[in-house]
Amino acid sequence: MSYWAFHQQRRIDYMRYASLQLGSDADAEEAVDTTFDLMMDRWLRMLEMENLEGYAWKILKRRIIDMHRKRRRRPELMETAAFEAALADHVEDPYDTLTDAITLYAAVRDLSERQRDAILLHYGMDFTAAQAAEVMGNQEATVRSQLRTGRERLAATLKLRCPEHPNGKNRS
Amino acid sequence: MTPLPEDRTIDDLLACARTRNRYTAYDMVAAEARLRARQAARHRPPRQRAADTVPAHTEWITPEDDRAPDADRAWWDLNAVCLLALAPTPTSTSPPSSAATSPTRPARSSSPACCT
Repeated sequence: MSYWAFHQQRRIDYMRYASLQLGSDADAEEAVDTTFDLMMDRWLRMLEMENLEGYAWKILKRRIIDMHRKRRRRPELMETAAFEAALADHVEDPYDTLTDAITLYAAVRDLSERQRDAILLHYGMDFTAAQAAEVMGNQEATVRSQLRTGRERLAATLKLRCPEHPNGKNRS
Repeated sequence: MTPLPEDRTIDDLLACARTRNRYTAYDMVAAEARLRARQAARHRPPRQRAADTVPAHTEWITPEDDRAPDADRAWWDLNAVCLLALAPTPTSTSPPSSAATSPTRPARSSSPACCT
């Protein structure tokens, strides 16, 4: 795969993820720019790696942490994601959705990092489990497991029922 | 945190999680151009990079150097004209001062040899 093909393929996904974490288009763009900039320098070495996607995802996450430090801010995922959810096209009542989304994303904050990423990509950004796994450089089965445990932990935290899916899997 | 109704499931809440895609019309061409520019800036020869990062107008110039080549000559001419204008009239009893035609130059460390 060429560097520019990878850039074309992942740029928007990375931008969406970074903007939900950073709460700013400009900061997201800088974080993603520095991510791809670094990748351009390391691309030949990355091509030899077993898990190129996983390595790229790690770089992105590091750059997002760097941006947080640079701006001296704490992570803003919950606020940003909740408002973006309320503004989504499918929403009928933005206020109800905003209340629910704030409650949900406040609980998501307490999940493990991997569960949080899986939940955000799958439920927040509407990726299938397979797509989320590809972006994170994980096995699909691993992501399904993270989604299942994340969903159960959220249900326990929020004291909600957690019905078993008909096929025993998360939707995908 | 307000308690949620008991009849709801976690799936009801997760259905509210979907965020909008802010970047459906993202300018990929501009993003690529930005990345190419970053790389080009980093891989320029060191001398060219230094020239780019230190603009000439920000360099400090000492007062001695900050003058045109003939500034000293102009200073002498101006001084002479001023002294002539202020010099006593011919009716004055005192003899004309030599300073009127040959002003004394104040000590200036940077005075060129031709003017001393």
